[in-house]
Parts: sequence; structure tokens; C-alpha cells
Amino acid sequence: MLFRFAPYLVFGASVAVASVVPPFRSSLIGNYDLGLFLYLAISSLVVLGIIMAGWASNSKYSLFGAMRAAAQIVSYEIPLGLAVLVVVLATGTLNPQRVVYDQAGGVHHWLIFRQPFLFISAFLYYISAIAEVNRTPFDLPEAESEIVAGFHTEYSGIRFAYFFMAEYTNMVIVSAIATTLFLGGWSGPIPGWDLLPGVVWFALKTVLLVFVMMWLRWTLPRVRVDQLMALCWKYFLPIGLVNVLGTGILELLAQEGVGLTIGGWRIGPNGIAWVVVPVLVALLGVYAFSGGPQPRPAAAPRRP
Amino acid sequence: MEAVVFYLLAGVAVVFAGVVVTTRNVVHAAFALMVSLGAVAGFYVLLDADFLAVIQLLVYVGGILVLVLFGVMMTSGRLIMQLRAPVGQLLPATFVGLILLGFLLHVGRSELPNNRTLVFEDSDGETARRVARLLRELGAESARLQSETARVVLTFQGAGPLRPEAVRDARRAVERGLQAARPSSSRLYVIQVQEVWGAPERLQIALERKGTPASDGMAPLDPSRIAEILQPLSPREDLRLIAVQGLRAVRVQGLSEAVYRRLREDPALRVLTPLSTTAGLGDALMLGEFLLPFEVAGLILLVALMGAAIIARKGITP
Repeated sequence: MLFRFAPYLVFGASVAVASVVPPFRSSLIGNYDLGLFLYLAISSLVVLGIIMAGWASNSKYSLFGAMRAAAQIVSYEIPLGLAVLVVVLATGTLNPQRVVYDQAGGVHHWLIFRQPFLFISAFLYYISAIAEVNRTPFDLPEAESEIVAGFHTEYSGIRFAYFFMAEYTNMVIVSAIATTLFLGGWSGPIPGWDLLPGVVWFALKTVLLVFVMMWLRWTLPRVRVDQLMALCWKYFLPIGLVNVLGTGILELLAQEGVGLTIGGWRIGPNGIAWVVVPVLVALLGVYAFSGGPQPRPAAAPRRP
Repeated sequence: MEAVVFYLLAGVAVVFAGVVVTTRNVVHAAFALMVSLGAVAGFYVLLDADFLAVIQLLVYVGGILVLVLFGVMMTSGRLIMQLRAPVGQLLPATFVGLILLGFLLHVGRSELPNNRTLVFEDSDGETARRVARLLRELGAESARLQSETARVVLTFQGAGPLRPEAVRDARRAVERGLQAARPSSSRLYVIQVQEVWGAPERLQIALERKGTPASDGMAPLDPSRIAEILQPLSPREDLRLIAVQGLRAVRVQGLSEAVYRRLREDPALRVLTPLSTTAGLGDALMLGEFLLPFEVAGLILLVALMGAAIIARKGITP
């Protein structure tokens, strides 16, 4: 019974996430006050369906795939959540429609370009999201060369189709959420230029992000399990925490009205951060590549 | 309708909770727990506690359950376990179970304190009289009625249909205006933008005080004072502030549960739901009365972690 139910749970949870994305102005979809929080809650249900499928298949490849999926999805949910938290801090709302309103009026208002921490967060979100939906280069749960087809090895017919529909639905929805959070949602890139309706802009940006996902799939080789986990816990998590801290500080400074006035131009904390943070990152890079921490001998790849 | 959904959810929750404790298979138990916990999230939605429902999904279904399953499947070879409790454990377990049952029965039977609050829209003063009459009929002596300005609505008018960036600029201008008037005052208000249906060239911004006026002893909202602050400011050349309205409301405090439900379901009364932002959420969670439950939830997560470790260890220790 668990075997039969699992694909529907995975697909249902993927589609339910679509309810938090506002596709156009004055849309009632995605216009409620717990939207982003609900997204994080529902997206964590997918992993239950995958474990269910892998365990109920009664096959070692399926079980391996399910365990890899559980480890991967649970791990990458944390940087994903931190990236969303940065957006919530910067806009002061959990309502996706309000997040889009906050970045309306031209490409320079989009959250990805507001301040450097959000710029980093956008990439953090996108990469974590690729890992979350199990696409190459992070498709370990269904690695063909190692474990046949992972958690859906034993499935065929319409149930297999549901797993694949869930995967592609997930890709589109994750891209749509990235568009909403960082790329201005349905608002156009040039202020005062209403050539295309909002829903077309939204679709264009979403399709662009889906295209990048497919592009990555055919470009990059699959990573190893230990590389995957190291990327999440050693790099993404600290970067995500620094992003949250930095955004909090910038918001506090903006609230206190801190800023510089140079030649009649007023520069707020975000403008100052655009100068300071890249310099700090560059210094950190120079330190890391010249006699910083010595490289350790490569560890032998672990198998789960 | 609500009753049907409630009994449906209650049946699902109870049946699957039964499966959790009777099945011998740990993984079956975990998936039955998933359904049971999901049904409990449904209860929260029925009780108008949306936030709690999402928390339930996030923490219990998405967090604890995955942790338990993950722990069991990663480390234990045998999934069918004879979870037989020795007699030594049976006695304290029965004792604790009885205490819990007694506590639940006590809570279920006892009278809740009369501390519910409702706010109704009251544009013409008619609502205040109606609520007062209803309270007399229901014999609610402890209730206190208070008429106040609960919300100030600023209406902006643009030349044509408003662009989205005008919406943002108007909100920022209001924030800045309030802040300039008194350095800390922007944090006293909850600000929310509302579109006007059927009038795309108009825009409304609603202001509400944080907290209840009675609780912090500060002056209530004053529409004329806010109009005075915001009148000189013009967020954009194509956007004018055309009206500042105070929304009159009746605040009824000290209601018992039964009276609260009766008033809330009265078709002639319009309940004013407060505006909400993430800042309010943080205040309530971190500084308000929910700090203790919040910490208890953290403790439960810790216990689940230890439980998962113990279940997982059983399979591998010789």
C-alpha cells in the first residue's frame, strides 16, 4: 500500500507548492501572509514520499536511493531556508505578492541587485534548489551509473510517470519561486515600459531559470556523496548564516538612517555594502589561495 | 460543514494513532504517524490557527518524522522489531499515562478564563449598541466594551492606473514620514498596502498600532495627527494623498469561550482581523507570551533526536 501511495504523495506535495507563487499582478494565488513559510513546510513533505517509495520497493537500489535522497534533501533545506530568510528580512513580509511589489519598477529594484548579501543568497537559493529537486549535478538519489534508477527503480506505468511529473513540476516551481524572490516576479525590467503583461515576464524569467537547470544538467558531471555533503555543510551553511547576519545589520542601519552624502548623492547602507562586501570577499579569496589553510590530503570517497 | 470536516479529521487522527501503537513495523508506524500529525494540522486550520498548522507540518511532519525514519533506516538492519516493554517499565508508563489522561480530562472539563478579545468594525456606532445588547442577553458580565479608532486608512490617488513601483514608493514615503515625525514612531505602527478593487488608480495604506492601546498605556491612533504629519509629503508627483480616514471599531475584552464563539458567528457583525507583518510575528514569538511554548517545541525536537538514536542503536548492539 505504501508502494502504491508514494508517487501520489511526492507529486501532490510538489504541486501544492505552486499555491504560493503569484504569477501576475492582483493575483489571489500567492497573496497570503504565510506564503513563504508554507513553501518551506510543504517542500519538506516530498522527502517522506521518496523514503516511502524507496523502502516499500523492497530493493537494495531503491533503499540506497531513498537514503541518499533523505540525506540530501534534509541537508539542502537548511541553506534554502536561510536564503529565503534573507529575503524575508529585507522585505519584512512572508507574503510572496508583497515581496514582488517590493521589487517592482525596473531591474535595479530587483532583490538580487539590492545589496550584495541578497546577490549571494540568490545563487545560494538556486543551487540549493537544484539539489533539493535532485537534478544533475546533484542527482545522486537516481544515479544511473551506480544504483540503476534510485528510489524509482521498481516503478513502471503511471506511477513512474507520476515520479517524473513530480520532478519536472518541481523544476518549474522552484524556478518560479526563485523568480518571485529574487528576479522581480511579474514586474518588467524597464520602469514605465508596459509592452508585455506581467504574466509573460514571469513566464519568461521562469523558463530562463529552467533552461539554466537543463543546461547545467548536460554540462556538469555528477558530484560524489562526500562532495555533496561538504558543499552543503562546510560552505553553504556558513555563507547562508553570514548572509542573514549581514542583511540584518544592513536593515538595522537603514532603519537608523545611516548613510553618506557625496556631492549631493545620498548613498544608503546598501550602496556602501556594494563597495565594502566585494572588497572583503576578494581579500578572503586572496588569503585562501595564498598560504591560507593548507590543503589536506584528499579523503577516500565514502559510501553510505 | 465544519463539524463534518472535524469528525473526518478526528477519525483519521485516531485511527492512524492506533496503527502507530499497534503495528510491529517501525516504518509503518512512522508513516501512520505522518497521517495522524497531518490530521492534527487540519484541526489547527479549523481553529483559525494557520500559523500553528504550518508549524505543525514543518516541525513534526517535515522534521521529527524524517529524523525518525532516517535514523531507523540508516542504522538498523531489522525493521520488524519486537518492541516488548519489560514489567519494570510498564508500571511507571501506566502511571505517567494516567496522569496525562487526568490532566487532559481536567483541561477539557474546566472553565477557560474569560480572556478572549474581539474587535468589530463600527462605522456608524450601530455595532457598539448591538454588541452591548448581545452581551446583556448572553449574560456576559465580565466583558468590557471599548470604542476606539483601530486603524487609519490613507487613500492615495494617481493620474492613471498605478504602476507597481508607485505602490512601493508610497509605502516607503509613509514609513519615512512617520519616522521623521518621531524617530522611533515607525516601529509603533504596522503598515500594510491594500489595493482598491475596481479602482486601479487608487491605493490604500492601512496603519495599525502594535499591541493593544490598553496594554501599553500609550495614546490611541489619532487620524488628524497622522494627516498632519503626512499631508505635506508627496511620494511621487503623480500620486496625491486624498483622504485619511480613521476606522472606528469596538473592542470587546474579557469574553468567555462560548460568548466569543457566539459573537464571532453573528452575521451582522464584521470582525476586524489585525494587520500582520513578520516583525509582529517575531515580537510575539520572542518577547511575548509564546516564548515558553517555543522553547518547549525545541525540547521536543531534542527528545525526538535522542529517541531516534536509541531506536536505531537497538538493531546494532549485540
